[in-house]
Formats: sequence, structure tokens, C-alpha cells
Amino acid sequence: MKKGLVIILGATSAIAKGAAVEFAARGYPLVLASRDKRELSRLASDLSIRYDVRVESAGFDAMDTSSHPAFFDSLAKREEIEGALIAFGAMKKEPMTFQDQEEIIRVNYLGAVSALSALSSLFSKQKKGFIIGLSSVAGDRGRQSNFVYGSAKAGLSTYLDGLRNKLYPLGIHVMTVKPGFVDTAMTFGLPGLFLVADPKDVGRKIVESLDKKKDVVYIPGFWKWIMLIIRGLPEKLFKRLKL
Amino acid sequence: MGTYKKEISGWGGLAKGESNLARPERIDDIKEKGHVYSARGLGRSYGDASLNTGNETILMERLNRFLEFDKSSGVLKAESGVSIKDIVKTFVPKGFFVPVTPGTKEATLGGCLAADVHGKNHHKDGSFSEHVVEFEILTPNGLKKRVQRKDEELFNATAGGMGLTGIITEITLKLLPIETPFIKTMHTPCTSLEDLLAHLSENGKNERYSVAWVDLLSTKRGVRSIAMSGDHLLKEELINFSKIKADFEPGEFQVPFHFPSFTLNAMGQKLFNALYFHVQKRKKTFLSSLESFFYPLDKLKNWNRLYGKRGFYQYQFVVPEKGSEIAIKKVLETLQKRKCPVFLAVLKKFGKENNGYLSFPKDGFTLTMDIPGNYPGLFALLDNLDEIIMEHEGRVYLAKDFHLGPAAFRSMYPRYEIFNKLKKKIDPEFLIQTDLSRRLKIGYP
Repeated sequence: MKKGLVIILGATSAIAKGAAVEFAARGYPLVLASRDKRELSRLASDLSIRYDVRVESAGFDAMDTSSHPAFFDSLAKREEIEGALIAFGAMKKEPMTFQDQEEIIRVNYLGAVSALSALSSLFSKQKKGFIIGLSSVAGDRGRQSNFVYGSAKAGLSTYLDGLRNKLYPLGIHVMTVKPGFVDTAMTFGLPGLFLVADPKDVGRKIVESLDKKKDVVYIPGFWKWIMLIIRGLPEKLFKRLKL
Repeated sequence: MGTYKKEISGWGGLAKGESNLARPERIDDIKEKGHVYSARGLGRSYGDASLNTGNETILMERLNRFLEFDKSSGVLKAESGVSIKDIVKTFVPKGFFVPVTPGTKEATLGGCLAADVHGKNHHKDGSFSEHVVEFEILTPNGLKKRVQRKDEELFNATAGGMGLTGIITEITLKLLPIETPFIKTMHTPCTSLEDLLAHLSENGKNERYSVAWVDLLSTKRGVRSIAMSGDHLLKEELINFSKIKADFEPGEFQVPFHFPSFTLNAMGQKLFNALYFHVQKRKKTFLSSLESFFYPLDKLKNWNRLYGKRGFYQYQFVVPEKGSEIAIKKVLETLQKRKCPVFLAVLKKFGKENNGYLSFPKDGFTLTMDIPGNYPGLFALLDNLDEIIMEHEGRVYLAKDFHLGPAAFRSMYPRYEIFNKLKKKIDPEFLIQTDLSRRLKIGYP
């Protein structure tokens, strides 16, 4: 069975790279998109040398939503698309200006909504496909150390729930991935982290979860239980914690 | 780029120090610095070569992309954080091996060039840098330089230069075409040092790969050893091996010979096992997998941890052929007299030295020994061994060193002055330093 194209937005992030490796190893041709075209082409060369698959790179800026219609239109004209992974994100260190906060919201929520809505119409026309949205455990509950990012991801998670509901009758699968702490440039050097996962493993697990048609998946799996406990704490207690 | 302070150590567990670690995800993340820094690959050097206590250490492990590969010539261009393991995994199925490999796959290309590593084939194929077509380096003043062999000074300062000329970012390497993933191996037991040295000299003329495992723990009746030699098995020879009675069905022997499909997949593995287990019964010649011939120690992942908290010191030196027997005997006698146990010892014949100013290999014999790190008076003992080595015009391998002083270093590496001149030119503010370079005063007037 011919393997359709897999699109990865935010392809230069460590988790996306891990997923790209897994898709490439399975023989899927790829379109890698991000702002860093130079890095993308290096990544593309690497994957095509290692796995003998066709890998293209394309420029894509999550924040620049006005550029999205053209980008997704050009994709629609191509060969059949197997699915897409939304893996772009942004986090900022404290202290944050409002500009920083705006960027976090624009990239993690607004940019994702724009991309997801375009992909949704694309797949609806095809009547098949998969969408993987990369959210975060940070979206499960707002905590003092990271709530701007957390709230944007919370918005994304709820949006993905709704999209999953809407696209289910069309046979299009929408999967929400909530990674815990992952060892990437975003977290390198940050204090207070624990049980940090290897992005390569997370990327691989994403594709494996897709195989199993999971709806909402925590990676690594134990975060499901941690967040269950965290979400269960009464607010009267939680507001006193310094997580 | 986030950084954080962490203690890192050399592979032997003795050298340790806290550095400010940075881990770029792309080469462009490495910016010009106004402070002292250095690079580190996978940290397999045994001493303090990759440490930079109190300063910034750039971890290169995520700069590991393949950039270009030419199937017909076998020339590969890759980022310097690519490991030998990466290359073996990706290219053996495509019909290529590494031209020179150190004893571990867990070493980066950048590290291999910086240490100018050698393999079991040094006497025939020279060291790692001799197979590097060109490389790209980020000099301390922020310039990206493409260095070819004809840029003699920078090339020869970087080959074996222990990372002190800049951050190596990309390497173009010519891979070795192979026809099968097997090495036809021969073991020859030797009963004395004399015997062994003669055998290794003789062997050097024939086999591509040659090395000896030496048992230094029981030297009561002379030094026992097993000389191991081998070469890549050719397609046509695989058929010869099959003519020996083997325990597999004739029909199973349908090996797809056209690369890239020949891999140690289920079929290949069955075939290999059948041949290997049968041929083991024969006296001397048998087939080894690439893994067991080149990387027997990697199997015990983190084998250095077997030494526990005491760590270990790996002492490796080379002495010219003439007088080598006397030099080695003196070294062994010194160790015996001091009752110092040597757990692992390997002996090889080296070929000619190359133009790398601080490159280690030179014509003669090289002996590598593991000494327990908690041996009392270890460094004093090593100083004594150094004296013997220097007396015989030999030298110690910097990638394993953690005890030499500046005087011994200068005596062992006579081209250090040429290196220092280049170092001053390329790094006028002396920004790239490591614990090793400070200990040996490399680059100091």
C-alpha cells in the first residue's frame, strides 16, 4: 500500500525530530516545515540518507497566521497526505513582558488553531487522514511557574477535543499528545525537573500511540497518573503549593 | 541556549570537574564567545581531555546529522556529533564501513579527529585524520572555516589537536566499501613477548587488521597473548566458508549479495550463527561479526562502571620498533615489582606517523593497559613508566592521559612548538582551553 505524505509542522523541535525519524523509518515520505529553513534542509538530508525516503522542507511560521492559507493550499494540491503532526511551540523564561506572553499564546494556541482548521478542511476533502496535536501536561492545571504556557496548551487541548468530536464521523483521527518533561532545548538547564524523557523516545511513542489510535495520550505514560493526582487536589490546597 | 552547571568526568572515572554545560541543537546555536570554552562529544576520552572545569563545555552530541552521501565514492559529509555507531548502523547495510575505527562505537567524528584515533589497521591504513577529506571548524573569533588537506597548518594542528583549534562542526570522510558484514579472523596464541612482537611485525605485511590481547596477570612463565588478525570477508569467500560442513540446509544459503539489502537480518543472522558456531570448532580461522571483532567491550555498556568507584587508569604508549622489546620488558618489570595488577592489555604494531602536530601514533609498538584507579602511588608509578618511555623515544596517548606534566609532554611531542604557533594565530585570546591543555600547558609560551 502506497504510503502517503506525512507533514510535520515545527519539525526542527526535538520531539518532532523523534517522530520524523519513526515515520521515515516506516517509509513515509515527509514534508518538514518550520521557520529555520537551513536547519530543515540538514534534517531532510539526514533522514533521506538514513532511511531512503523522500523528505522535503518548507518554510512555515506558526505566528504568521496570514501566511497559513497559502501554505496549506499548496499542500492540498499535492499527492495524498497521510496525516500531520503539529509540533511547534514556544516557551519563555520569567520575567515575561506582555510581548512574551502574547507570543506564547500566538504560537501555542492561535497558530495551532489556524493550522488545525486548515488541515481539518484538507482532510475532510480527502475523507481520510490523521492529525496529531502536541499539547502538554502543563495544560492540565495552571500552576504558578508556567501558567501562560499552560493556559495556551489548555486551550489547545480543548480545541483538539472538539475537533476530534467533529471529525470522527468523517473517519479522521485526531490525537492529543501530552508530553511531561522532555529533555530538549526548551528545558535544558531548567531547575526543578524530574523524570525527564528522551525526545527520541517520545517521538517514537507518538507514532506507536497513533498505531493504537489513542485519543489523548500522556508520554511517558506515568504522567497520566501524576496529572490525575494533580488535577484531583482541591484548589484550597493547590493554591498554596509552589509547583 | 540554556546552560547549567554539572560535574562531568572522563571515561576512567578519575578525572572530574564541574562545567557550565551548553547543548546546542543546531550548529548555528553556537555563538561567538567572550569567555573560555571547549567542546565535548561522547566523553570517551579517559582523562581530562574533554573537561573544562569552571568554564563552558559545549556538548556536541545533538549536532548529529548526515548531510551528504555519495553512493559511488562512499564519501560522507556529516555533522561532527555523528557517532561511529551511527555510521555503522546506517552504512553497513549500504555496503560501507568506517575506514578507521577506535575500540568503541560510542565516539563522535569530531572527537575521532581531535584525538586522531587509530584502529587495528593503523599499520596499513594510518589513523582517522588520514581518511578525512575536509572538515569545517568554528574558530574562536566566530569564523566558519572549511579546512582541506592543502590548508596544512590548520589541518595538521586540528588532527590530534585535542579540540584546541576550534569547534569542529562538519567532517567529510571517505568510507570503506565492504562486501559482507563479516571479518575472517585468525587467532594465534603466543607464549612470549619476543614471539608476539615478531609475529605482529610479520603479520603487519599481510592482514589489514591486527592486534593482540595480552595476559599480564599471569606472567610467571613468560607473557601469554593471543594475536588476532583479520580482514573483511569478500562475497566470493563466503561461498568457500559454506563448503565446510555446516548445520544449515543448502537451500537456506541464498544470501542476497547485492547491497544495500545484505544486512544481519533474520536470514543473515541464522547463516552467521551456523557458520560461526561450526567454524569455531576449527582451529584457527573463523568468522566474526563486525560487532564482536571491533567492539567487544561495547557489549558491556558502560563497562567502565565495572571498575566501580575506584575507577581505572588506562595507560597507552608507543615506542619505536627498535628497542621496543627492551622498553616493554622494563615497563612490565616495573609493574610487576610494584605489584601493580594490569587488567586489560592490548598490543599493536603502528605504521608511520602522519603530519598531525600532536598526533599520537608513530612507527613502532603500542601497548595499552588498564590499571585500577585506587592503586596506591599510581601517579608516581606512571611517572616512572614515562621515564622509560621517554628514554626510548616513545610517547603517551593524550586521549587517555591524566598524569603527564608539561615537561614530559614537550619531550614526547616535539612538534608542539609548531602547534603552539598555529594556536596563537587562530586563538589569540586563548579562549579554547581544556583541563588537559592547562595541565600540559599546551599553547602556553
